[in-house]
Amino acid sequence: MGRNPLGDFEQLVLLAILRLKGEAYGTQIARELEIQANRRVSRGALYSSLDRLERKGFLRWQVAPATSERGGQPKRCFEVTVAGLEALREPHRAWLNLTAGLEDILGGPRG
Amino acid sequence: MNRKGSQPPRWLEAVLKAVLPQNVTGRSIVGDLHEDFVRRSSQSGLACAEAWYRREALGVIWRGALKRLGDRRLRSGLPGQPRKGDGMAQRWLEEFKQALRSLLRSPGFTLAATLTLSLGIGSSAAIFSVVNGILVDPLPFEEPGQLVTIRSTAPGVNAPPEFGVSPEFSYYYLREAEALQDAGVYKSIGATLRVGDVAERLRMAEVSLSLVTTLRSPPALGSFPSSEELTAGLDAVLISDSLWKRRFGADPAIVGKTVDAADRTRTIVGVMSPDFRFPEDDTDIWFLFVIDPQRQEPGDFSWELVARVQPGTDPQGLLSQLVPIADRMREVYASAPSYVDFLIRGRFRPVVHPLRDQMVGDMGRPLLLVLATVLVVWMVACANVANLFFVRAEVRQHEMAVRSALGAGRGRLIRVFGAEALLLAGAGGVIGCILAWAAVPLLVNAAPPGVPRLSNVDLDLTSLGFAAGVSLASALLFGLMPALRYSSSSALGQVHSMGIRSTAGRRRQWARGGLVIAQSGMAMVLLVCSGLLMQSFQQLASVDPGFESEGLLTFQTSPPREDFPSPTSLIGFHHSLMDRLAALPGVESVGAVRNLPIDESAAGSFFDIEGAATAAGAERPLIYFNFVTPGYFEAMKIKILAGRGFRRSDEEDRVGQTVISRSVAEKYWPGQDPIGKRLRFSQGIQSSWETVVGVVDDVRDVSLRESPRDIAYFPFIGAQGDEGWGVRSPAYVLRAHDAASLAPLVREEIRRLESVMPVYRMQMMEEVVTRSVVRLSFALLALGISAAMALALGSIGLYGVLSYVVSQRTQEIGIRMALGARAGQVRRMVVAQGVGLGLIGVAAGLLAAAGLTRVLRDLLYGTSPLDPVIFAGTASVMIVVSLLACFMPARRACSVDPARSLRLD
Repeated sequence: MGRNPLGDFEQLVLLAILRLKGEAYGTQIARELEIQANRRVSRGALYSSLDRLERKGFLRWQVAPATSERGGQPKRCFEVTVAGLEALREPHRAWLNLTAGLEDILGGPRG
Repeated sequence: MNRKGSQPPRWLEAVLKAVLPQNVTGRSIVGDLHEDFVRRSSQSGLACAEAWYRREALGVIWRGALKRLGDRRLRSGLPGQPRKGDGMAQRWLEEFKQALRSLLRSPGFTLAATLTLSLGIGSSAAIFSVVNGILVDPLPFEEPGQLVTIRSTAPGVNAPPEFGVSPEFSYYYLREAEALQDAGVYKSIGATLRVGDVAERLRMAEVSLSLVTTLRSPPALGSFPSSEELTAGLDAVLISDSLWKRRFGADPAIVGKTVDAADRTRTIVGVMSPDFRFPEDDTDIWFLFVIDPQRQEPGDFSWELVARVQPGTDPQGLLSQLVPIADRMREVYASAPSYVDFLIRGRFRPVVHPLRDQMVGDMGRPLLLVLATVLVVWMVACANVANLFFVRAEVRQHEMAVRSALGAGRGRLIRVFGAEALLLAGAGGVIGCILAWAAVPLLVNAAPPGVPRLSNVDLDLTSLGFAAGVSLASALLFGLMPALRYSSSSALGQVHSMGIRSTAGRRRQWARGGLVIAQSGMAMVLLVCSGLLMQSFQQLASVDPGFESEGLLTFQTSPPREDFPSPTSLIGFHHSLMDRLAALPGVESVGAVRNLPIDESAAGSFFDIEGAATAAGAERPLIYFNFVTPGYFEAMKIKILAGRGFRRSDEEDRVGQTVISRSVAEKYWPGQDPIGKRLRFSQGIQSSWETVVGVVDDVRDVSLRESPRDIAYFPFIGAQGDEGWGVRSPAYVLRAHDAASLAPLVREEIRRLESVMPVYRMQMMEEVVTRSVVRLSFALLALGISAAMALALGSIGLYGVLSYVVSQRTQEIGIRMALGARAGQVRRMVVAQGVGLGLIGVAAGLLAAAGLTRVLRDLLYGTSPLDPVIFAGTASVMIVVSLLACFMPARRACSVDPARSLRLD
């Protein structure tokens, strides 16, 4: 397929959605990225990434009902499509291959 | 802002909703931000959450806007780089870059245009923020639109056109008018606060308990007492936040403590919040009481009433409910015939105004006037820049023609001008805002005392929005005209005639001539207005107030009640103080008065005149009264026309004497000798006859503007004994050779006499008089500056146009001179053209001024709005200035060398 269809940030967004399972909506995705990846992301950038990923067919969403703490607004819960998973796998494999044997240098998880 | 719970800023959320697509996607984004806001505000506070929300929401809006522009480009199928290309935005960006380059290539033009614009925009924005702060911003109370003030009028008697209410009216209005939710009364007073050894004179207010509930401003600390507690005799006061911090070190346990205010020990029941400023910006203490018409004397109209109306009530509706209530007061007070008589014969009626109008006072008109004048200056500035643009466009005609020949459409050419205009306006706007930002604090400081609600003035978002709007309007005004003209196809025909440069097209000349005419016209209007104000100012300054304000020092002091409980002891105090003051070096005379003229005008009362026919239905004499000590008339240099002034022995003898002003003598004893005649107060406790012992000259005691009123003067202590009028805190007047330097000596003397006693309002009488013409001097200053700016800008415009015309006509002039025209003739030709334009402008300006000066009528004094001398004088100034502006270009024209000019090109 030549070049990887996913940018760095897009990968992180997809991973965050996978981690959040059914609870992946805007607010939570932003928090997950901040907590796990230490990436502070502006909402404008996040929503345009989500749109782009959706257009590429890597994401889909469904509507969850409105709650009062959201000022009566609905929420979109995202999930990663099969194509999205596939697109994640390739860079993940490459990452594992390339980092194998380098754990000492790169440090353990959360080193 | 958002008191109930934490909600994101409502306006921003509304904008967000409007901008985002109207579907689940858009709404879910709004919801996400909402949810996050709620979480953040509970974790890190409202302010932090609001800042976050603003940043993120604006980011989302910005991205959305970019995306839409991108989509439009895709739809229209224009070529462009897929990544960066943003269609329309991209094209404008290119245009701006080019415009910037081209502007930087002609720095003189750019600098002149930017500075001119920034002056116009900056002054408009600065004045707008002042006007906005004083006139437009809502009052700092809940639902300010519901607050009204109810006043009174009694056209049938000799009373001011409008005055306050008596507390019983508040009671009955509130009880019976359905349109009222709440109502209360207040009265502003000056009184002494004593804390320990420090006595301080402060502004205080007596307010009914219902007033503070009407304003819905609960204390920040403590609480309002109940009306039962107040009726039972609790002397409760509320204190201001600033007093609490300044005098009581922000003591958190202040509530329940007592203070000595206005000669009584009172209990502090609460501290108001810092933004509670009522009725004056510097009111520090509020005395609470309950209105009880059974226990209070009726007919005291020195109170102001504030009411809160039911939502949706209009002033007319309220008035129609109040009128019958006011009429019924005649029956309620049937036992007080003189009061009922006043109500009936006065044709007493209530009057309703929005509270805002009452608090702004009479500064509204001058302020709007000033705003109008700076807008005129701004328009003159725009006309100037438009003129510069015309010239520039003329020079660039070839460039435009070439562009058009190479395939640039009309839209493209308009964009070229538009981009330059927007850039210039943007730069002018930014610099203007910086100027305004620097000028607003200066304006606030320089504003004369007495301008209300100044604490409310700053360069806020509204003012910045106004500046942005003005900048954009500037770009349209000065950019659009040249853009349309020079992009038209006829102008582009020039490409064929590039070789021959001759006199410019007639239409274009007219456009520029029109601008010059408009400029001189507008400058003319401002000149006329400031001329009229200046004349009024001179007229006022030459008015004889009846006393001499030069070399007169005045101050007030207030001896404590416990040391001087009776009028007799008070008079002793005043005498010993005056004796000490008289002994100071250089002092010529000393006196004291209860109400200092101009500063505090005297109160009025109905009087009985002995021997005058008090026929039924006849107007009862209304005379204003004041209390003075011996030496007062001498110190003020008020002329004694007949009889004598007061003596110390009058105060000791207590025989009941009065000195009247000339107008009283002329009105009530015409052609007779008033000495020995008698008069008496026809209301209240003072019912003994007072004998006239002297007549003094009339005094303007309200303002220089208002003609003198009928005044009767009484000694500090009269025939009525210790129950009489104790004048506790009079104004002393001290005439001395070098009065201003006496201030420290006076303070020293008073400290020796009584250590804990405030000395306040120490000032020169001249300052008091000057302050009374504040409105006029404020308007005069602003108009004067505006007129000077307009005149300067206008003449620069005329100069610019003529210079340009001369340079365009060089060939023509050369031909004329080659054919034998003399230098003088050429000069006359050029001057005639310039002066012609100027004259049309002057004529147009005079016509406009004749229609507009009527708005100044309130401010003028002794000057007609159509004063022919002023009109003629300012017109000649304008003509002289246009002659000067023509002079340089004309000289250049007649120095044209025919041989050289014909060789050009």
